[in-house]
Amino acid sequence: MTPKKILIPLHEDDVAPRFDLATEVLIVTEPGAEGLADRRMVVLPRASAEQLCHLISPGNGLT
Amino acid sequence: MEKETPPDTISNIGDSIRTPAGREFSNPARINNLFNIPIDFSDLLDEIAIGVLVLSLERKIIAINQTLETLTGFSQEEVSGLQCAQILRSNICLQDCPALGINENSSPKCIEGNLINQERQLIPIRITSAPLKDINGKITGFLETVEDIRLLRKLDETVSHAYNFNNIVGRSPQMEKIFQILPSLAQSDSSVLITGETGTGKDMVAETIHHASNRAKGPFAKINCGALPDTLLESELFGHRKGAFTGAVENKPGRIQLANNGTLYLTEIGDLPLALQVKLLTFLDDKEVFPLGSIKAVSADVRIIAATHRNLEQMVNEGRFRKDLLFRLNVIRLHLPPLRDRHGDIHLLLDHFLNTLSTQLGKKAPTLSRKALKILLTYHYPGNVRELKNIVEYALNISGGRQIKTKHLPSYLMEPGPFGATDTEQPPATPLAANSEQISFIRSGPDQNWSDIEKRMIMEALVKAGGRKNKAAVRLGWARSTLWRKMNQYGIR
Repeated sequence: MTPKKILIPLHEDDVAPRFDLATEVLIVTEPGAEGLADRRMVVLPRASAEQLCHLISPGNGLT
Repeated sequence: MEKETPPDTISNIGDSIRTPAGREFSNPARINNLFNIPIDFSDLLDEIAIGVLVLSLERKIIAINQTLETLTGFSQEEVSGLQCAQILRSNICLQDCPALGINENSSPKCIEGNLINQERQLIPIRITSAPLKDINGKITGFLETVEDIRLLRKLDETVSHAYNFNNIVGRSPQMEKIFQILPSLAQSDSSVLITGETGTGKDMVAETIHHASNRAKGPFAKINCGALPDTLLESELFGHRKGAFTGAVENKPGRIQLANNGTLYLTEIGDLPLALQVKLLTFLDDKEVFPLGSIKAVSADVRIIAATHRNLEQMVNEGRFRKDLLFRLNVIRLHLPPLRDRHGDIHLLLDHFLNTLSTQLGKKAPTLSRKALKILLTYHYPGNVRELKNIVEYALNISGGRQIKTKHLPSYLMEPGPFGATDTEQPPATPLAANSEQISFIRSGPDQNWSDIEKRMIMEALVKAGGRKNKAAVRLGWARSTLWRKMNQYGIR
């Protein structure tokens, strides 16, 4: 079973109020059997709702 | 996103606004000393028909009114103490927060954008942000108003389908191109240079651009660069300090300063003296002006629209106009066609002026005799729309409300003469207005290959569709994906 991943759009040091305007996202992977959570920060080339949608859709290595 | 309890946030704003002792913060605060008895602060805000936000210095929400609750879908209890951007969810908050740039000397800032409410609706809004100061003039918070401008946008769409745009009338292809360009042009903040013969409506276009822009709520300051002597013009434009010259008995802000957050319209820019051209250039670069006699710069956020009937390129060659100033002003160029080239518009304008002027004069709109109409339609109008308007006004007054015949028209219209005694200093037919006109000719040009023609077709369709790709694809008879692919192929963005 693949571990759950959570994607949080960021704006500066906070959660981005608008997904379509976020240029950074934090991807956190649920702790596995070894008990370690994985955190990854992805910087998007530009704010785009479509790009973010594409990023989180299955088959892009992130989900 | 951590919700903070703001027990003393209200008192941060100033002594005049306090929470009543022993009450929850989300409950109404009170304004003391304004009336004999304390009044309910939130009730006062709720009476206002536009959304209102009271923010702390850290831009955390202290209070919102009912209108904003309806607009955003959040209640006062939910939002107290939260960062305003998290509640408004507006693109303005993330890209150009108006409260960030406000200092003690700032005037209110007005910006247009959109927000996403709790129902996930994208709503166009206009935010005006102003500082809240204590009695010593120190900023203690911000007051923001949020206007829902959906209705205005709908009206704009309706207007753009008619044969006029903010009182500019025309249905000739040249004017239709201008009507299509104007809204997107207004939304940008770039400098605009309007060229065209006298009487073509440069002033009206400048005003229209201002009213259709995000600066519409700001001032529209107009100055005629050819109407004042050099020294007076400098003082008018840039302002002066008390004692800067004989007669300067008090500080006076210049038009640039007065146009802060708005638009400065410089008409007859070709008549601006060379010395002032340098000073204007400095302002365009630094966004700061030094009033006469002052060593302290004053910053001003102003959009510049310039207009002239002169040929600035020719003036640059003759050394009468600075090349660098021309380049800075010539970001967006709009050429207004002379009336003689606007086929079909003379009749439309005749009817328009007959109706509006007769209403103003309190008369019933008269008809035109066939002969008078023929004369008016074939005249060359060197004074363009202004001349046509004057002729109609003259005829209306002379005819006394009866049918307008040739004898009611100004006599010079019937005199044989060299029609077309137009201004020799014609600006070259340019760009935006002329582009699409050229398209139809380019299509049949033997030296054009299919790619060029297709590229032009896409551009033309996009312009006609006001930049909307869906509509452009329909116009071209293509699927949207085909249009995307072709646009990528030709590098059209």
